[in-house]
Amino acid sequence: MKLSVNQPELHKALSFTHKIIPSKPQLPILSSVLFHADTDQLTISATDLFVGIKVSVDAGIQEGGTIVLPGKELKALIQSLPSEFITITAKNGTVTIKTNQTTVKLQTQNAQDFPEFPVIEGTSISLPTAQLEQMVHRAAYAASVDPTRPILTAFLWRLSEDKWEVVTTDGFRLAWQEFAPLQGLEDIQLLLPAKALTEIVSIAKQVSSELVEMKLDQNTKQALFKIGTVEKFVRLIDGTFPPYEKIMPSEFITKVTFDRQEIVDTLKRAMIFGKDSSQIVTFDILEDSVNISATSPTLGSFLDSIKQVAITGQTQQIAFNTKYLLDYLNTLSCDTILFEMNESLKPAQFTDPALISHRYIAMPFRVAT
Amino acid sequence: MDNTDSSQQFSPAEVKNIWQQMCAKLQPEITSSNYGTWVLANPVTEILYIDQNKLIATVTSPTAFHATNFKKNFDQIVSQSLGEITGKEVQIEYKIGNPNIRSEIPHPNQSSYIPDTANYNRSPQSPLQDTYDSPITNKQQIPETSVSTQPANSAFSFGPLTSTMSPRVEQLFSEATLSASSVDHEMAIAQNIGMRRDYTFSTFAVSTTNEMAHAAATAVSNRPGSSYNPLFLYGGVGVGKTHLMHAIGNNILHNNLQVRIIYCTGEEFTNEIVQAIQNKKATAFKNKYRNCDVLLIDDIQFIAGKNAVQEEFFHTFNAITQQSKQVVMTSDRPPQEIRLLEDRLRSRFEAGLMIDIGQPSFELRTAILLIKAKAAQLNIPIELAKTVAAKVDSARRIEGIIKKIRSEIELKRKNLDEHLIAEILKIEEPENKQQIRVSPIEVIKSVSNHFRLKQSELKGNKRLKHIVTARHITMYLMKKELQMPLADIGKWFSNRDHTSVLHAVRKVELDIVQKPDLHQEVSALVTTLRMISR
Repeated sequence: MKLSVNQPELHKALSFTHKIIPSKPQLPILSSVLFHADTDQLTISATDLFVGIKVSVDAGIQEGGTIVLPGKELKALIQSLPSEFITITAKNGTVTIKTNQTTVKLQTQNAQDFPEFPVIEGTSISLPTAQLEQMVHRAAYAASVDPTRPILTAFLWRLSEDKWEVVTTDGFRLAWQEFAPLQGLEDIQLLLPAKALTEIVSIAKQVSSELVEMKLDQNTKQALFKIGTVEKFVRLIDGTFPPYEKIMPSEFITKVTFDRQEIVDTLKRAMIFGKDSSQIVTFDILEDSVNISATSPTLGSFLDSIKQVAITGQTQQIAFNTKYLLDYLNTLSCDTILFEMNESLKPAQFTDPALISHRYIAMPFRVAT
Repeated sequence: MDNTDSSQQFSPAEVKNIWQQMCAKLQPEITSSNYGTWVLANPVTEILYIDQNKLIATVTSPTAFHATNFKKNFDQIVSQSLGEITGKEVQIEYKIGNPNIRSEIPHPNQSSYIPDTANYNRSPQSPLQDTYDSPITNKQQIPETSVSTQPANSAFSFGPLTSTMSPRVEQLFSEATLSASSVDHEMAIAQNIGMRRDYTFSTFAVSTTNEMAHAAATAVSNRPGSSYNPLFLYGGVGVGKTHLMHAIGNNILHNNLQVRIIYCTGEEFTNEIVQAIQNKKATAFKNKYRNCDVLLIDDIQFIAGKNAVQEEFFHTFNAITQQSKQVVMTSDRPPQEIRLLEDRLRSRFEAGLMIDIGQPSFELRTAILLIKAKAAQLNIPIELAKTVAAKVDSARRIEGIIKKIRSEIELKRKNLDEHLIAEILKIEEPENKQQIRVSPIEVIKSVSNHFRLKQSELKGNKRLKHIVTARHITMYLMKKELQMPLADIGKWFSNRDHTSVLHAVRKVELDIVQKPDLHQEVSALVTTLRMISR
């Protein structure tokens, strides 16, 4: 193999593969990346056997071939090189990476040992990157990161003829969104890993791809996302998503409209005092104002009385983890926020009053009195 | 392996056994990392007969990557060694999935997912011990898509905080949240409609004065639209019209959450029309009212005299009743007595069932007091309840008094005894007394109508018992409600002396406490006077 490639191009590709490479793989070869050059194209691949990635890189290829190189070290090396052309040659199991100043020799591993990528069959569906980005931005934080509950680490896509519902939850809060139906995908429920979806959006933005092509293979339970020159293989998650419709309240007793910036500022202040008490913040909804308070056993206490609010319904008290609220509120840019609740220990809802297709449900905390 | 020809499929235990033998065979031949990734993670989970000599073994791989590479590197070796173990020709098929996937929500049949380890008969040192319980062995990092290695239940036992800390968050998908959501739903709907949840049939005390109304309301709430339509309840202040109406709404809602109920007062209806006209949203208004399943209108008499409102209500009423949807109305007087009510509306109201709810009797007031006290978790002895009921004429005031008693006990830590009751009743009285603005002649007219006497008889000198009582009540009302000087009152009754008037007033004051029926007559008369005074 002999080729030359621009440093920024190669670095970008390796930064994508880097995200996939497991830190302590059971199978040593999984910490490597595969370079495959045919007549006109260089493809770099990596996988942990659950997620896989293939990145095509523009390169001047003089001679094709396949090599396997240690992923981490190679990325660190390429990252440190100046922006210029890099030549890569492979001969008799030795790979030479050369720039004007630097010469590196590496042993290639046996390319035969590198796992083969599955063939994904299915029709391709185009998703606008902007839509995916919005979806991930509005909901990824609500997904769980607990690997023992894989279902909750997923985005639920529930597609039907008339709508496309997207839900994430970690069991304590839940983000729900609704989009126009996806043509070609009807009556299907998919569980896509939130981490993978977040990365797909990040890749799409980096390679400035306006569309993401998705292919689903229900037999092999794989999804393939084509983002410009990048192909990402994602294992769909098995199982049944919790019955989210059942816990989304449809009616509320108390409703409060806040100024979003004001409540965000208040919560940030409250967070200073919530540090020792699990970030608990208490809302006292009164007749014409809302008192937001937090107490720290060591520091003291905090109380904000928000007067610029529109309140309907009963006076109530409810407590939340500040982080849960800020996670959601920080994803918005609207001026006002509608908060709705039924009882102090029942799920409460936050919405942008102008956006009915996005709802956030948070489970309140029981505060010992 | 012993397999009878009749069995089409190997039992899980047999499959497991075969797989174990195969692992033992392969393990020495390949590196441990390859063995862990490619063999252990891709177990044979099913073996089927095609015919006498041919078998199909299904390998379940966690991902398509595993399946693809297993096929590429191990298909031959595995089919060969399986062939040696079973003595048949073996073909391999691939499936993606988890050999022991567990669903996130625990349910009673959960155990069916978990392999019954007791049947597997495997040696303790078997490398499979780990594998069947968790397809990803401990050595390998757990990628995001890995299967749950914890029993599903354990995921429910902890939150982001450990349970020993005081602030706790419940699971969003806990049983309690899931089951409470429907109750919440009903409650929230009732709240949004504007109905009080505590106004139900079970908290409504029934006696002779209101049993008809209660029976009709129960019938309507059980079969809205088909029993009595419209239902028109009328009666004085605090007789329980609104309570019955809310009870109808609550019961309908309890039976079916999907029923669209609108509850409003005649005044709210009027205001809404005015607003709708102002904002040019008359269509929305029409849609809202004409498409409901049950329309509950309190104090319908309020729309009388307002032509545009009556017009709209007429059409609304027709639209609803034509679809056999229920209409329930309350008023402080029967339709024929509502002044300035259009005839076409009056005739429609009268077409349904009209029921008069009388002033609660002394016994009923006592019962109401006891029910309400119980709801407020107040233990009032029946003697004290009687004292209150004797002094208080309307059920609504009873509610106020109970609240007062409660706050006195809770906040001022007073004992519930006669003194407290007397004190509260003393404070209560002036507050609730509305100035009645009627002329003395109207009092005389009302009383004579009530007792079916001629006005001249009432004012005259006849000393027949029933006339005297009526005369005394008239004097009493003039003194108590109109605050007329005794001498002036005397002038209306053939120039009687002020001492005679004083005697009459005192006598009524005394009798009113002792004779429940007299009290009822007086309170009914007061109510009538209030109506006129408005």
